[in-house]
Amino acid sequence: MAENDRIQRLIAAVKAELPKLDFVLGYGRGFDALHATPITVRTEADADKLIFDATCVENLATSLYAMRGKRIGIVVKGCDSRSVVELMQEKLLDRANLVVFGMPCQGVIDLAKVRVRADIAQARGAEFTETEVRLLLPEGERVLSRQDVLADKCLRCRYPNPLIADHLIGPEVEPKGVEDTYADLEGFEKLNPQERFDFWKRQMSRCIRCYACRNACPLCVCKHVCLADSREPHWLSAEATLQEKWLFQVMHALHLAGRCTECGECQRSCPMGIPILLLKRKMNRELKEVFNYEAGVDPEAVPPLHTFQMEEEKIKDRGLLW
Amino acid sequence: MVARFIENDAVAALAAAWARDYRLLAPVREGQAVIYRPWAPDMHPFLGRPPTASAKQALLPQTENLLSYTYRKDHADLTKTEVFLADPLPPEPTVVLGCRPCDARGNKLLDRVFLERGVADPLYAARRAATLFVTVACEHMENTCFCHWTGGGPTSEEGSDVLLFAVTGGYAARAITPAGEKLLANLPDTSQQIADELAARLANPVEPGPAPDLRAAPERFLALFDNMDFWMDQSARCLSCGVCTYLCPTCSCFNITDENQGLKGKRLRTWDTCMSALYTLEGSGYNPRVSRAHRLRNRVGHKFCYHPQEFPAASNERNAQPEVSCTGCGRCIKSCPVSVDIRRIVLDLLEKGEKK
Repeated sequence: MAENDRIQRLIAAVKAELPKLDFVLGYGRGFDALHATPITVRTEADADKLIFDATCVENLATSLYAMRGKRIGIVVKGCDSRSVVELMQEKLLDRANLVVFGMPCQGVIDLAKVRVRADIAQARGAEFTETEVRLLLPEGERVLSRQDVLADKCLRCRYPNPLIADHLIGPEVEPKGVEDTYADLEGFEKLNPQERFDFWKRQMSRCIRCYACRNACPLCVCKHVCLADSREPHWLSAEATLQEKWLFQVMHALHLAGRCTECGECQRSCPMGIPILLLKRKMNRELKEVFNYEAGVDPEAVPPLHTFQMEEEKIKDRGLLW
Repeated sequence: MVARFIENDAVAALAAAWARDYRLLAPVREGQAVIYRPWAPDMHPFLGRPPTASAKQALLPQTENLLSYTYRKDHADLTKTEVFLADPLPPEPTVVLGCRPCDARGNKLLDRVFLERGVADPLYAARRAATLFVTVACEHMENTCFCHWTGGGPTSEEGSDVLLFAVTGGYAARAITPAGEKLLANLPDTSQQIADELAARLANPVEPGPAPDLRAAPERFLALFDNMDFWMDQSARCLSCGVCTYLCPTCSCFNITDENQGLKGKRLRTWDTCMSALYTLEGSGYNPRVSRAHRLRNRVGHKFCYHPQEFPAASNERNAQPEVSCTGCGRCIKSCPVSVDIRRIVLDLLEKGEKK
């Protein structure tokens, strides 16, 4: 009931802003009860189609860079708001042209985790309570623990409340995590370099080079002028070999170092289920250690690789003089 | 027709037997995906779910070597260069195990492009002739399935050499072609009990929901062609990635590039995707399909307008419904990161493109 009231408040806020905007990006129902899909709201009738629940997995901030120049509104969760902040930090969007509808979030479901537990290909319906996901399947009702199927990022979420919002559609949510311990990296970090490389060779061998990971990334703003597509200089061959696939992922991870907010869209978008976020998490852990920095939290902060200091606190200069 | 019986436990052994005579591609589970892999002795073919990618990779590989070349400079006269060309090897006889009826039907649509459009593609033709499809009939329709819109169905035989039906304890296998008959030659007939089970299942087919009348689709698509607000709203969510086209059983677009390394190189044919801005980027820098809206419009238009217009005779074969370049496998819906639903777009076209 409370959720329904919240959606009504969102719809009212969107309707109030619509006359001043080209359109609002929000969530509508997708092809079944477990899928949401981004929608463009131009009219009051469109606004009535807005939803917000645990299926609203997409990070709508991904579209912002392509839509600069327009006056638009956007519905964001806490994690999505970090992408907006990071885009502002990098001066890639004009805040004055953006109206942010902030939705404090209890966590979204990871459909991959749901699929492991239930065959949802024919799901007829789904309901979400604070502790449960109730699936209506052809063979009957199936109840899953919500905790079991929440996205990993939600289990350690420290920013469930949007960090930036013109309309905050509360109530605010108590954060689940206090500090990111990167416990999920432990297993991977125990491997030696050769074992790590073997792991990635196995994973990357099923990449189809669709570039969903790149295009779903809110901060991969180069899109189709990406180095991966460049013929001049010719960094990557058109040949779909492991080497080319891996080179692109390394490039993606390096270009996102100190910028990635771990929204997880790269991994969620991968049709082949390649755990790409692992690379970004590893990179962020290093960044945290060296620069004590976290991306997309403070609009005024300068990302560490966008600047330099003559003497970095944790980087030894090897005593070379020049 | 008599069906042969394959016990669940015998699937791997049968695949191994086929792999002695053929290059065998079979689906295996990897992470959350179901991937076609070439046969390996430790492989466990997984037939329980439609593979994540379609089977078109067997006929149109993501990367195909069209030729290799080497230049040789004449050291006595540096203005002279000789070029040596090497053709690729002919394709191996191949069996694709575990595709679905929608995948097998896609082959016919690939044939339209590569064999029937005036010039036959010799590489495709050779692969097509050398490849057999052992298809698993579907027991139900998933939320993303719409094969019945396009003239198919969960047990369509079109394009398959063998059709497998899941029955108690294994699969009942029906040969559709003489080549398929050969594949099944050493298998026992089904017991009467299994034959009855199969007959009962075929007598009670899956009843899909109603399918829309697509006869007006080409005309209504063209009526909305220049309505960029319509396409903008349809595509505002689109990420412009290649998931839909690369997983599609009928998308056939490719690129050809020379990959040079010094004085030698390869001429490659690789999958291309009309969802990429580079697809139509011209040498001048001009791009006729500058936005996601233009590109999504092309994908829908090709499948539901340009293809039926190019092959109008095909519609007579199926009760005047147009032959569309889509088999309704639903992969573009299921794997789309943002749940773009091509069915919804086509329904919106039919509704909004109607002349008022």
